[in-house]
Amino acid sequence: MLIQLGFSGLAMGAIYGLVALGFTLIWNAVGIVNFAQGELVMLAAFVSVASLSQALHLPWAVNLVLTVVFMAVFGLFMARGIYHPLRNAPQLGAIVATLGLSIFLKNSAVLVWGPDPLIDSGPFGNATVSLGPAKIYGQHVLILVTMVVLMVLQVAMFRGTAIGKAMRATAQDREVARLMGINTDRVIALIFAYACMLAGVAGVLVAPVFYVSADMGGMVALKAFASSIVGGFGHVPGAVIGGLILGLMDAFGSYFLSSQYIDVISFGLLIAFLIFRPQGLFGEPEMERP
Amino acid sequence: MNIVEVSRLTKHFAGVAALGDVSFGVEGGAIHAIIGPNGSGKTTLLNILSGVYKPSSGEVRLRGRRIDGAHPFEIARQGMGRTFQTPRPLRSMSVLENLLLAGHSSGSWWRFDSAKRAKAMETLHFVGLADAADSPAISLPQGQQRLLEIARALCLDPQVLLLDEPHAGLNPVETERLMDVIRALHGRGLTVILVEHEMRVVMTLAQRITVLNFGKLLVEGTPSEIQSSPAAIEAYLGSRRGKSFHG
Amino acid sequence: MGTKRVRFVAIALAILSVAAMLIPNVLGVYYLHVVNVALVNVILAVGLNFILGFGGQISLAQAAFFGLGAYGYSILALRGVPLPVAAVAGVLLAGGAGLALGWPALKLKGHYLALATLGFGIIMQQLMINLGGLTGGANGLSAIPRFGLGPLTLDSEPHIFYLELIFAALVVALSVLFDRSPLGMRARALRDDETAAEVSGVNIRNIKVMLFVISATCGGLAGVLYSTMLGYISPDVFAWSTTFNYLVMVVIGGLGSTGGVVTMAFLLTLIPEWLRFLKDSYMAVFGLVVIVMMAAAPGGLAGLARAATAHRTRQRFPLSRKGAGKFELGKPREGKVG
Repeated sequence: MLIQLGFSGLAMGAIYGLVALGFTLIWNAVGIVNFAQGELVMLAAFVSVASLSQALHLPWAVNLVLTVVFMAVFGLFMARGIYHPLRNAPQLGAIVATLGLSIFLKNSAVLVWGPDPLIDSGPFGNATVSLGPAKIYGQHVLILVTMVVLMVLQVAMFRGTAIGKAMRATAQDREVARLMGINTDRVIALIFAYACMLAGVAGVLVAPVFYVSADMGGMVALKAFASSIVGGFGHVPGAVIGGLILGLMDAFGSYFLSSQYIDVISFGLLIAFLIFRPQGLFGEPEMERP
Repeated sequence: MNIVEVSRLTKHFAGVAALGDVSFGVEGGAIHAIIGPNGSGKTTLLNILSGVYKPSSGEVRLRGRRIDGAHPFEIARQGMGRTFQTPRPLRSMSVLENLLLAGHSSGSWWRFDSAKRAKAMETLHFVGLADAADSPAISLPQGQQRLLEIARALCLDPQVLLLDEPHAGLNPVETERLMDVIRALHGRGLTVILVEHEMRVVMTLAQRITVLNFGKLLVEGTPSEIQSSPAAIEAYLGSRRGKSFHG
Repeated sequence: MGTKRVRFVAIALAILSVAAMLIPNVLGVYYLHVVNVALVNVILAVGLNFILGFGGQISLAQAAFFGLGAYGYSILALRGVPLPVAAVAGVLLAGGAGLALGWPALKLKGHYLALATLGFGIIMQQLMINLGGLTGGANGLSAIPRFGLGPLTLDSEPHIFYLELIFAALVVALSVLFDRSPLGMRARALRDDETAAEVSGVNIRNIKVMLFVISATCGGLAGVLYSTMLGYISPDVFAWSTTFNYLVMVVIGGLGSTGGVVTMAFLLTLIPEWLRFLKDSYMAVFGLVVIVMMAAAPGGLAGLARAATAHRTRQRFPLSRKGAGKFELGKPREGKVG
């Protein structure tokens, strides 16, 4: 039982981590908290399930690739349409704008795909793998495997490729990156695209686990924010680790403590971290500033 | 008794010692300069004096009362004002309103004091910004922003004024004007603690100079003593581009 | 204020009072109800403006305070507590929560504060849904007694209108007086530059807590009025996404501008009525419009109004570097630092 809980917790945690990773990259690059990250996952899930799977019956791998490409393009539009006009605006303006985007996406989803939640059985359906006495869902295994592969690819990209290094440089210090000759506007657009791609992967992976509905974005985003705070806001590996921790907490907490109040517990944890250890587990404490 | 007394002040940031065991006193009514190469801890010291940072250990006393660890607003209300290296005007307010804010930062919730308003206008005249009283604070050019900072701090009716590199980036005309303002403040009996890089200004204005290097107190004395101190000369010529003490 | 000003205000108030008397007779019950909802929104938005507009602190918890006032009043009223006591209790509950939230929040800034207040809102909403025995769970509470004092009960929309109008007027008056007072100046200093305000002698800690409590109390007041107006409440009214509406009212109305916020509160209540034909697409359009507004006019309505008068300043000080509008929403972000 514990193993089963562990796997399902890690799987959900991987999703939270993916979403958290997306907006952490955006935060590092441009200092905006993207409150619409959850809705991006929802958008990807709908595109994947409604259009590609149910309408066109595409095989899963093709589905994944097409969804990710779609999200990447969407990310480019987001960079141009939302980030670019707001790049010098104060924090509150960007917060309200991304909240506006989340409301827009949520309600547009209902208009495009209807108000009913969609169910998708995914490539594995309810198939399970046996690990000793425990039965583990194939879908959870898929999520974890995809996550690991993706992380390996990401590290390779950030360290190995020129574009990846440019992205890292821009994320660390935009001004210096520009002085070094990096076309920061283009790199920022790519960062948005990549963050949306991450949301895309998350959407495709999570669709079989939950009903796909217009509301799903909100809760996923909030868990992802909590993950990010726990791991250390702005800390890239911290976002993923925070997500895994939160996912495990959700799984074990729901089972052993209370599934009703699990959200209260996880947001209580979020607030506790914010008050007592705002830098999370891996972040650096913010220096007092003159 | 010195108006400001610093005893064994130490400040660590994540393991790095920005200030180590610094002690000195500032005489009431003096212009006391604090100089040192970049990174020597001058701004950290100023931030601790004004309450923006808490020291890791050590004491700061204002007129004999301990103020280390106090909140900045408490220190301000006890009579120590400060300016910032990069001016921080209150963006939604006019020049005059910036000063009114300082005068009304404590006291009545609902009533503006006409005496304080008059004092604010008088202070604007004193620094030469009276014409700009109603223009947005952010519309002033750099040199005048510095004067605004000083004027705002003056409206606290302080006895001590901490100035953080006020001459940085000013042209000669502005520099001279600022020096006149500081002389006039000195004439009024204010104690001025001046953190500065401009050596000509320091040597001309200061009565006493404290030299910091790597967070430690290197040497202290009158301008002529400092100019002939080998330790001070080495600290400066060793790390800056050969700029001498004579400006 | 000069005597000319006093006379102007007195005449304006007189006209408004007469108009207020006439409104219930002019509008049908339906539109009167819409106006009543608008008045509740005014109290919520002007309340939020204290912490968000005057103080510049990002609070996403306004809907939670709204809910605390509503549930506080409703739960007590349904259990037979005398209505005035229940009403005061609801308001105090919300205000107390504002104190409880404001104090730890002293350490938090910017998006950290936004996330913490967001988390608080979520927790409150979850409690509303899950403490079924107390709150009626997802179905909420109904048959909530209408507020009344002894023999005087409110049994019609016009009565509700007058009650809400009085409180809305009080809140707006408080906001206007606050704005012009030294206290308001200190709050704006906090918003503009917290450190500069502090070294100028402003006790920013007390101001922050005070603003939180005022905003929370207004939220609670709105909750009590809302419960008594409708007679039923449910958790989805107080979802954190509702906070977004009030956020928009304050931000697009113009942070710190009482007039702008009141205008937006009315507009955002009335516009959905006018745009009924949009039906389901209204919210999607709303979201899109908000994005465009933020990109095009970050200073909101008040900012636009100010920019229109700013050219006068430029003519007076032609050598000024930036003569543009006085209201700036604080320092721009600095990316990863901060």
